Amino acid sequence: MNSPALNDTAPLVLIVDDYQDAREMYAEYLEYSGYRVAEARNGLEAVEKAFALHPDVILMDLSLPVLDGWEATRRLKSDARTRAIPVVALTGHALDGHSREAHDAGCDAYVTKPCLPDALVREVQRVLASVAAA
Amino acid sequence: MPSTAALPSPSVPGPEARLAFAELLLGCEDARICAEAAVAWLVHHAQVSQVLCLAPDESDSHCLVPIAWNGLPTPEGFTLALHDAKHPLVEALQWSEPRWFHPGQLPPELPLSSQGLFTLSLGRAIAGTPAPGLMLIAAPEPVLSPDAPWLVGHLGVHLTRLYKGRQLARLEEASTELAARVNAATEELATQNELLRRQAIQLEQASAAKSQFLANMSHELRTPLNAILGYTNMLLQGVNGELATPQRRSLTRIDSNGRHLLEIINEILDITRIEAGRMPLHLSEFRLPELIQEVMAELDPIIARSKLAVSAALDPNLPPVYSDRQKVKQIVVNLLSNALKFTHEGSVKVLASYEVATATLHISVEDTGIGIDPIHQEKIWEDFQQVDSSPTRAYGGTGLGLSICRRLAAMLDGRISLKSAVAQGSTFTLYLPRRTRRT
Repeated sequence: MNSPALNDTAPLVLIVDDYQDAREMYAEYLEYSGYRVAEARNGLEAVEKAFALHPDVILMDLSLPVLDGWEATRRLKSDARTRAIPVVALTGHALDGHSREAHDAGCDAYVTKPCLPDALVREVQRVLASVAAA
Repeated sequence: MPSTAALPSPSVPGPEARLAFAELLLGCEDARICAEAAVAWLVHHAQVSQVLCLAPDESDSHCLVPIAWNGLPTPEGFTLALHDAKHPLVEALQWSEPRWFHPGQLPPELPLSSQGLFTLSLGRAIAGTPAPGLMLIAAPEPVLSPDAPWLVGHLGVHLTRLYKGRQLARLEEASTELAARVNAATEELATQNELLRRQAIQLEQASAAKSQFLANMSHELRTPLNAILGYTNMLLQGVNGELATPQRRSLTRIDSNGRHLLEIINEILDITRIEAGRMPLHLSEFRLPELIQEVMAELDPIIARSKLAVSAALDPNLPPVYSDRQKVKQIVVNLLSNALKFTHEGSVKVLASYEVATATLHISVEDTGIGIDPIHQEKIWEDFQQVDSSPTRAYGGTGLGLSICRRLAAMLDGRISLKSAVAQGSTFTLYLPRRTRRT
C-alpha cells in the first residue's frame, strides 16, 4: 500500500489471523490509516515475527492453527524481549470464558469480531496511547 | 320313646382295626382314597350299609361333593353349596355330635333322605380352609356304633390336615409367584430407571451439543460477516476511492442488511447463552440516570429521525442499583427501540421510580404507538414471535428482542410487565430489585 502516511517511523502492527480475507482487510485499513503492517497466519509465525520485527502492537486472533493465540500470547509475555508489546485479542467467540482466558494468557485488550476496521484502528490507537502514557 | 337297651348292641371292632385304619390314613395323601377307606371300614366294622361321604370339590372349596359311598346308586352330580347356611346339611357341618334325622325329615332330593340317617361332621370350617366334609350314614333307628364317630373324627382330622397342607402348598406357590412378580417388577423398574438415566444424559448431551453447535455456528457466521461488513465499511469510507451516489446507496443497503443479520446472530447467541446457563452476571453498583442517558444517546440517530417527542422523567430520589449494568442497559435499549419502532406519532417517555416498600426500581417505556391487542400480549414474549410474524408484515425484526429481555430480567431477579391496548399505545415496565442476588 502506498498511503501518504506510511513511513518508517509509523507504528508497526502485527496482525495475526488465519482467515485471509479478514487479515488482509485489517492490514489494508491499518495501512490506509497510516500504520506499517506485518502479517502472520498462525501462532508460531506470530511468535517468530514478533521476535524478528518487534512490532509496536499485536492483533491476535485466538483460534489459530499450529499454535493458538492464547499459547502464542503466553510465550510472548514470558519472554523479556517481547513482554512489553501490547497484545489485543481478537476473536469471533463471544461465549463467556474467552475474554477471561485471553486476559489470563496476558492479553492487554480484547476485541470481539465482527469488528469494523475503523473500530479496530481506534482500539490500536487507544492501546498505543496507553503504552505511550505509561 | 325307644329304649337303647332294647336295641341290638353293635359289635365292637378290636383296637387292631382302629390302628390299621389310623396307619392307612397316615400314608394317604389323597382325600378320596381316605374317604373310600373310611366308608369301607364303616361298612365292615360299624354294621352300616348305606354310607355317603361329602367333601370339598378339588376345584371349588365352596361346595361339597360325594367322594365316597356305599350301598347307593352313584350320587355324582349332587352338590352341597356351603354358602347356603340354612341348608340342613350345611347346618349339620357345625355339630360336633352325630345327629339323627327321621325318614323324610330332609328334603327328598338329598341322598338317603328317604331313610333315617345320621350326619357326622368331619370338622368345622375355619378361616382359610373349608369344612373337611360330612359323613351321611343311613340308619332306620337312631342307633350308631360308637366306632362311627371315632372314625369320622379321625378322618376329619386327617382331611383337615390334608386340606391345610394343600392350602399351604397353594399359599407357597402364590407367594413364590408373588415374589417372582415383585422381582420382575423390580427388575423392570431398574431397567426403566437406567433407561431414564441414560435418556437424561442423552438429553443433557443433546442440549450441550445444541448450545455448542449454535455457538460454533454463530462463530462461523460471524467470520464471513465480519469481512462483508468490514469491506463495506472500508468502501463507504472511500478507502478504495470515491464512490458514485448509486454505488454508495447500494453499499449502504449491503451495510444495513449485514448489520441486521449480525443482530439476528447476536440475539440467537444471547438466547443460546442464557439457555445453556453460560450468560454470566457481572454485578456492580451503578446509577440509573446515567444509564438511561446512555441509552438515549445510543438511540439518538433513530430518535432524531422520528418526529416523536421523546423524553425521560426520572424520580430524583432513585437509589443506586446493584445489578448487571450491561444487561439492564440491553433491556432498556430494547424496550425503547421497540417503542420508537411501533410509534408513528405522539410521544415516547422513559420513566423511572423507586418503590421503597419492595426495594424495587420501576423503569417504564411509555409510547403512544400502535399498541398490542390483549390476545397477542402473551405471544410477544416467545422466541421469534411478533404480533405479526407473516412474511408480509409491516415491521421487521427477529422476534427475539422481548424474549431476551424477559430472560435477562429473570436473571436479574426482575420481570417485565406490559399494559397496552390497540391504538392506545403500550407501556412496558421493568421491575428491577435494588440488589440482584448472585445465584
